[in-house]
Amino acid sequence: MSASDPVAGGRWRLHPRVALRPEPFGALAYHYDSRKLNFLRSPDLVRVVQNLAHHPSPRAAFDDAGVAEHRWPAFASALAILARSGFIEPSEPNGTTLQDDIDEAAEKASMTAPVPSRP
Amino acid sequence: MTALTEELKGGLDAPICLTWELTYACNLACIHCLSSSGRRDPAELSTGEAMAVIDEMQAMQVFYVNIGGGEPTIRPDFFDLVAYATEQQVGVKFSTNGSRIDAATAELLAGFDYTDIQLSLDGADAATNDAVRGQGSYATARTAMDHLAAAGFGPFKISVVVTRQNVAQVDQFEALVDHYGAQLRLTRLRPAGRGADTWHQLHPTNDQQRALYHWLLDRPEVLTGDSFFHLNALGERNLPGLNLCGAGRVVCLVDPVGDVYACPFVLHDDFRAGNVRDPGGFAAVWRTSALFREFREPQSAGACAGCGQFDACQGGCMAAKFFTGLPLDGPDPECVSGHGLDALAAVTPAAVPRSTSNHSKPSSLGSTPVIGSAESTIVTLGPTRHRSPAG
Repeated sequence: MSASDPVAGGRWRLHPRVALRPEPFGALAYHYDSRKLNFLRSPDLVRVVQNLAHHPSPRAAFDDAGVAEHRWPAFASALAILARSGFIEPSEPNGTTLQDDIDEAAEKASMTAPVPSRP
Repeated sequence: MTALTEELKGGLDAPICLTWELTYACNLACIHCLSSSGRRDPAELSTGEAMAVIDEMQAMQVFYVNIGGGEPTIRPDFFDLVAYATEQQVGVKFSTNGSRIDAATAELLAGFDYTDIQLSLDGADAATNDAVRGQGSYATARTAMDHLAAAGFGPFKISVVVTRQNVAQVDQFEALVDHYGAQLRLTRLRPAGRGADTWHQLHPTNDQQRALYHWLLDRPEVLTGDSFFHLNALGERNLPGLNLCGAGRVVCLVDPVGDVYACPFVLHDDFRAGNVRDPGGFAAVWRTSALFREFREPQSAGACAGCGQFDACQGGCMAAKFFTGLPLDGPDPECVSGHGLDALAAVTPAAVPRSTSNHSKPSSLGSTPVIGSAESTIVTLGPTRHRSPAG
């Protein structure tokens, strides 16, 4: 797991130039720098993303949002996509030390991530 | 079809992509103009009303707006409105023919944060472009591009409406955007506005559509405004994008007098959902209009239900069907499987609907396009459509 992968743990946050707009399916995320849109297709995922910065790891954010463990791989995949497109970022320069079991789970997760991005 | 597409069909709380035509005034008279622009409408939104619309967009978190016209830079308050929108965190992408972008304006624009420019060009050479957009318009657009490049504006967009005459020039367009460090945008020609009169001569052939589909598949970086999803029936792979008609669901159009239409290509009373001057403003129109609610209901595949390609092409473009006289629940006139041809053959020309909004200058009706001075178009002539200023 690289330092830029949220499933590796550490404290993450929503990029300060990203806005979330509530929608019936969850939220629409818009990045003011890259002008890219992302669809957060679950209200639970929206809660997780909003609260990432308040937790020492994404796993703690899943837990706090009441996300059942069997959904963690899908959520981890969704966060990985958001991280790759810069929608979320590590909130500390070196905050990537916590290895969770979810990273392994995420690698095994199916390719059907719940957060497709729009070019 | 993805679940996301299904969710979007139910509509969003605010549009993703809102097109706002600021004025019907235009110094060009393009023969495919989807809004039949030319003359300013005396009932166009005032500066204050336009700023109130921007306030609404900010409140609804409409992240960016596509500004067009007419030629939007003709409005004396154009740059004030762009600045105001970006200050409210409503990004602006505006379309222009480039006639107002001199060196000084390019410098000004280069200093604007969060503003994109789309220069319209419908041919990779003057002959091809000017046949559609008017004599001298190619040189005008290239001069504007030179100014933007010299001012260090960054990657502006070159926007091309694909026609039978220019589709073979896609590689040349690609070379042109590379020359400027720009981005290429190709969109589909619709038979809307004056385009209804020229569509039969301008729209690509089916062989050209096939070539375009493969060309676009190889170039996911080329922007299309998701306008070619009807081509997805040509192969196994879908073009990048949402693959659905977003009319009234994720997109809409606000016209210069504040009328809200389902999309930029259906300036017709049948698709007018309300006006931003109505009580409740734009938000009420978007969220509660009976027309838009209807669009967000499950739609029937109609005559296309028996075709195995419906999931790929979604039945095509509503506007293309409407303005060629085809039923909305049937094939697109440019259906890649050829189902549109039979349907078109059965259409009675007199029964084909016309845009209910027409601001063409008398000189452009049925004549070769000519370029007048931009100033001359600000002169207020009589509206071609009656509407009280108070809406």
